[in-house]
Amino acid sequence: MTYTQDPQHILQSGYRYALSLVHQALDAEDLVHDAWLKAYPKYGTKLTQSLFFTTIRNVYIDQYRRNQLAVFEAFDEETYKEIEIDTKHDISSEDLDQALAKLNSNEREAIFLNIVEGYSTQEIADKTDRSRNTVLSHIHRGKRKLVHTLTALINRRNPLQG
Amino acid sequence: MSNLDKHIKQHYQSKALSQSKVDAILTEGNEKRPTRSWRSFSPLVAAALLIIGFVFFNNYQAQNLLNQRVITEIAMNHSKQLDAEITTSDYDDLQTKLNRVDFPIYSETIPENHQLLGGRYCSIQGELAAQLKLKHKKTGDVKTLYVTRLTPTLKNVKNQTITQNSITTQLWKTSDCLFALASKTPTETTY
Repeated sequence: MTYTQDPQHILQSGYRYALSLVHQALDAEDLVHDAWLKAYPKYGTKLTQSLFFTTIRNVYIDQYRRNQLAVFEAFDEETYKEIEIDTKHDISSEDLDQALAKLNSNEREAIFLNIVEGYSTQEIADKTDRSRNTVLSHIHRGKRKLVHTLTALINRRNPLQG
Repeated sequence: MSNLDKHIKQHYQSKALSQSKVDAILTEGNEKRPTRSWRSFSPLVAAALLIIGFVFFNNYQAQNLLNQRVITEIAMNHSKQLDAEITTSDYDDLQTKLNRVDFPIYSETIPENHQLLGGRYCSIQGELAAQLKLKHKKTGDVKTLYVTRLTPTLKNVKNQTITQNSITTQLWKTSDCLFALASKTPTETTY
């Protein structure tokens, strides 16, 4: 049996993508599990990461978001600027986890696909059936929320540096 | 890549399914994946059956049409009741006089109890044929026997007896020739 891609790698990257959608580890496991059982019988050894991501997204929409699709207004690309957190402290995984939990799934998904998987905003737009401006909006708003939450968390822990 | 991006990337890359969970998902996926069974080939099988069915149906229809054409032509010729141009009761004599006919006009398969009255040239489906007048020795019924060479097309004619417009036509083949016996009443002969 020769796979197009290593199934373990597909599963693990799929799990991280699922985490970006549902944020909760157990929900992400369930989502990956359901998506695999849907995709593997269909594609078999021809299953790729891209196909698996699409399946995860479809299963997610079916199971978790059917009635909760959020509509985002388009975003003016010119207003997008690099967002950086201004802190001398390291960001802990726990803080980042808390901050990511405050994002909605569209924002987490866009950030994950852009930063972790390295997709361009146009590629994300194509994959998620959204306009590029909307994707930019999700990334920008998500990062802004992250910076806001992380700054608050760090300042709370280190009040003298606030 | 910004500091924030690096943290986000590291955060997600540190997440992984446990190996036991991976194994469980892969195992369940393998169990659920259908093995290559006849179902995999069912579209091909269906297509093949459809083609075979179509070919058979076409052949069947073509054969039926050919039989119908031959029988209609023979029934029409018989109903004209044309006189025999050569009068003889001897098959050899008739064979000699119908010198354009290059196939045997007599066959042991011709029904018994029929006396040859004579014959003439004719055609079946565009092929040269011999038209023989026969008289039933008991009933006196006059019948017409058509004999022609078995061409590749006529080989597709099937042995058959059909009554059409009060004329019963019996078709049969030998290795070389097609025979057709037409009469106003059903023939007594069976094959």
